Amino acid sequence: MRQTTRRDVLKGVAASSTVGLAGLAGCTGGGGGGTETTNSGGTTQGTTMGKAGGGGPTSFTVGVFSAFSGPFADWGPAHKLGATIAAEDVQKDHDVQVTIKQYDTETDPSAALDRMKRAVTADGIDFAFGGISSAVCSSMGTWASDNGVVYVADGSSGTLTGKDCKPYMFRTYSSNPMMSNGVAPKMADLADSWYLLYADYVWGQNAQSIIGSLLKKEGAAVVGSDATPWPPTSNDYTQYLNNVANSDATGLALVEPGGLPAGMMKQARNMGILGDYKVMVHQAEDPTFWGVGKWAAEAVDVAPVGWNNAVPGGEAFKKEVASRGNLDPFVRHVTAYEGMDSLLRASIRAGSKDAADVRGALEGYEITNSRINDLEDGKVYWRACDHQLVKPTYIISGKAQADMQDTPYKSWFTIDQTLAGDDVARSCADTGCSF
Amino acid sequence: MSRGSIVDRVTAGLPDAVGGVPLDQFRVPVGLVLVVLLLRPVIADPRMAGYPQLANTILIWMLFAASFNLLLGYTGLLSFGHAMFFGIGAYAAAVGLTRFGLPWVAAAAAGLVLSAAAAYVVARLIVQKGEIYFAMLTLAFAQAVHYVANQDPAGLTGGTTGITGASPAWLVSERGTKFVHVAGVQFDWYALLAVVFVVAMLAIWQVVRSPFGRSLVAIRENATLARSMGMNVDRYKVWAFTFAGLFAALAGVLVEVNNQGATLQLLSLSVSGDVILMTILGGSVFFFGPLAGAFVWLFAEDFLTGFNTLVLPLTELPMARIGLSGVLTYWQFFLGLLFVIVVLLSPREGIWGLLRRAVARVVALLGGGEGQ
Amino acid sequence: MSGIRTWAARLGDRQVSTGWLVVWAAIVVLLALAFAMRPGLFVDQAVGGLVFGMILVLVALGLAIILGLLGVVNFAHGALFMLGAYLTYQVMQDWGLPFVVALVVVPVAVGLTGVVLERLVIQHVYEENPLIGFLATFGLALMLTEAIRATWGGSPLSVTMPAALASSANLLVTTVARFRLFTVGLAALTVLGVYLLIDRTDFGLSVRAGVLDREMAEFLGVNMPVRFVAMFFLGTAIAGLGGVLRGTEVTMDIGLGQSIVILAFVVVVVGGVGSLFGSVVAGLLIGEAVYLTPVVLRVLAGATGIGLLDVPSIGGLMPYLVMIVVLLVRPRGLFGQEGFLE
Repeated sequence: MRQTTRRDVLKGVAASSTVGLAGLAGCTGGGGGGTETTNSGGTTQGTTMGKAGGGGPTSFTVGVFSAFSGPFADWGPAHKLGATIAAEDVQKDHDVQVTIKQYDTETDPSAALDRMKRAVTADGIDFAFGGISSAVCSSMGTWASDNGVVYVADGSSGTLTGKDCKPYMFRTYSSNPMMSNGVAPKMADLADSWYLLYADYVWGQNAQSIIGSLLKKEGAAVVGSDATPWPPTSNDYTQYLNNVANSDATGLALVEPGGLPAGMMKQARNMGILGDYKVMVHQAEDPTFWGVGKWAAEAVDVAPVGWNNAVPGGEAFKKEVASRGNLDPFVRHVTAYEGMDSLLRASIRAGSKDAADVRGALEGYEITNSRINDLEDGKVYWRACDHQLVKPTYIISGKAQADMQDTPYKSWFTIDQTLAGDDVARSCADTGCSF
Repeated sequence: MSRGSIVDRVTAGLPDAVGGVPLDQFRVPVGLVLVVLLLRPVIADPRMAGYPQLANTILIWMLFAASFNLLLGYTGLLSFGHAMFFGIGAYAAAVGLTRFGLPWVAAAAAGLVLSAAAAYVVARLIVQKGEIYFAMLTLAFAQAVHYVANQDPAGLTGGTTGITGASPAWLVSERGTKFVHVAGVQFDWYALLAVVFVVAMLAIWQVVRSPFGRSLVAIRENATLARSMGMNVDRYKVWAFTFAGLFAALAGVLVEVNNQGATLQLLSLSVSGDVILMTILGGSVFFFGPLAGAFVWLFAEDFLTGFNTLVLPLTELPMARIGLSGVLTYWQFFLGLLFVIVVLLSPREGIWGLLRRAVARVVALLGGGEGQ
Repeated sequence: MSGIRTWAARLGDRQVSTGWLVVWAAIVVLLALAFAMRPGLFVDQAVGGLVFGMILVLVALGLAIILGLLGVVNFAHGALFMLGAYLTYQVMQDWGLPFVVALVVVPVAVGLTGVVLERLVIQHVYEENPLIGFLATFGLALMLTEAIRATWGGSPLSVTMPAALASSANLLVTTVARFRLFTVGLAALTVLGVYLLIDRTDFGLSVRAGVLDREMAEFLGVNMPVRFVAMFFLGTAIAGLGGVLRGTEVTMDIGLGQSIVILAFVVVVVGGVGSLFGSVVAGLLIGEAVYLTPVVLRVLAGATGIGLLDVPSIGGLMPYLVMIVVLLVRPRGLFGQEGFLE
């Protein structure tokens, strides 16, 4: 018995528009004519294939929380697509039914928290995945964990598996410390003296302090470090580049989020100084370069990332993403896949959707899903002490422009080093996490 | 109220006074009680938001917007930095709870005092300036507070991540619903929130109705005239600003309980901007205007972000299933369109004015030729 | 706009109090100290600050015109600026046309967009409280931003600069990106052009008269609606021009509009609403403050050993601090005219 929802009320409005199928709703083939399960409240993108049967949970509702509006609006559909493919794979392997619900975090912790509350209380999600900014992840994760909902976060700040860790919060993106630890040796190899420009908020501040101290340990000098305003008041960074130009630095580290590094590199190029430095971009995500130009990717000499589509393997996944999605395959597709896959399979393994059981099934679990193993060049497992998905950290650099691939998907970087997760992750004691 | 207004016509049959108190005076209290009683059931209805906890957020923002309107609608002062006091309230409660181990009430009280003091100091510095200069100065001060909080001084504020998991001891959360557990009695958090809301709004109403409040209106209408009549305009403005800061901080401590923490976003420019827009949207000339504005804004935002598939003509007989997820990730477009439409239809009176006129027309239609 | 003359006259008349002498002396000493300790960096930042200041002036100019002349708080200014940047991308990257074409066509296109907005929405709020206009233009800004996102996507984009402007210019004492100098030059020309238009032509005179007393001007046969539209076109076209230049120099993304609109307001208010000269001075002042303050603080921290003085990212807060100081001292901004939005 279905209650009348507000969407039902609006059905009466007969607007003769063109028929469109919700792209990712996957109303294709399968049994039952591909219906969309419209529950009361919330949005539904239902993939309802497969038959029910057997013991344990047979149907899942998972919330995907991401930015679908605002400056990171391209990331939301990427999260959703990765999660959808994971759900489809799980449905092929098991007799279950997965419904994915999408929520816009608006990159605002308060709004995201409201969406999480609604998802759990009104829409009845079993698990949650998502979040890009760590403030959003922390806000959602604290509540979710307190209310018995397992949540896999996709923010990178160390605090999520550190002092802000929670019993039912997990994190799939490589942590900021992992990336910072991984990149410092290579940076020291490339240049003896570095200037660090970092965004003045938790992510930037932490990365800068870790990288700074590690560089010194590796024998390189940090000749200067400038915090750039957060949130940015203008996209003009010439004054910081002036500082860099007036120092003895031979390396320039850009610990800035989103499209800022590319913008800074362009301004450095305009000033004629870009070629003077080895450039490091922290946590470089491909889409921020694809729109700017190949020269920008080429100019990146070293960048620690959670994943890059230059990994050997997983071609089928990459091509599928390229054809189905709005963006070519990049890290968020993979983290979403890993997060969704882990949640569903853990619950199936545990035979229950209870948070404590799922948690138990995740802690210490090494992922054997062949798709993930193809996509990640090393061991991937959920660490029990802090709930970090320990997986390889990749050190990449831009290819020469002539070597860059554009079809079937853009691949402009090459992987110089693959570091095993255990080698770069903080020791359990250092995380500061206690449940 | 002017003669011939809706309320007059509806209450035409009632006695003029009850126990010596003119019935008029109950208008606002009754209205407030109706708001809190009706808000949650309306919001919880699946045809609307289907999610009762949204009512908590709406009540808090209604209070915040009402505190802002004390400045804008009643004193004629525009502040671009009102989020500052909202954030101070929330952070004080969160910091007190987590960093100093204070009971929540003590932390919240400290927050109110701190916010009022900050408001007083800021106002003393800047009330003499002209409208837009005053507004930009409030912006500057708010940005300074935001900057300081971002620097995480002495580890107090937690930088951009803020403080999470800061919950009062008497709050119990069960899979989404919050309960207040005090002296063996347990009741819904919404009930407590509603009581605080009504009391605070009545306090604002008292301020507004008092001679002090009427002087504020005089200042809004014509500050020069007020000054020429011997009124110390600046002093009134300072106190209006202080009260506004106090009530905003009250909304802040409530949001801290609701969100179980405080994030930097609460101090941001977008929160300051949102409250201004909500107030104008609802109609700053009315007491209930900001409440209407907060409701419409938050409801529209929730509605538009959640809305995803339009099935025509009926789910039972689907002929056209229009996947609007493509269009409605651009929900902010429709929010902006809503603002533009409201401004064009009802520039000065906002949504509340529209509502009143609509109700008046309906009542007139129904009333027909009677009681003209 | 006899600002310069009045200012000079006031300087001559005024007796500077000792308090002010001390403040000015302290500033000079600090600047000299910074120059002495880090001469190369100091000059780079000093010149860079002027350049950035002029860029701010260009960005704020359109807003200043619309706010100063029409009394409309045009929050859509940032979105129109962003539209200019994205249209440049469309013209140059997608259609492959040269930069010069974009430079001419895009501002006109943005100006026309502004006119459409003015005719549809903004003309109805002229008589109202400026805040109503704020709400309306905020709504328009949201709509514009989302339309831009729908058309060009949410990821950052960049335009290839024309080769002639893509290198750096050696100014003997410092090096500045050539494109930035080009922007400064264009900004100066635009300011001059606007000044000449408003102060030296009959058209400008009729606009100023109409702003002061619309009824009287119309009574005398001046067609005010046309003039208002023309001024709105001018303001938004200049916003578009700013978008072309900034979009070409740096990258563009969806957050571009919101971040610059606040800065533009700060510049206009510091300069004083209604004063073109004030906006120029304010822009340059803020530019210098943003660029030089971190240098001074860093030198001071090094000299005194008080590490706390080297405040991180203070450059981002400087516009607001400058605004506080200026408005506390000169309540109407540097050259604000009485009665404007008071």
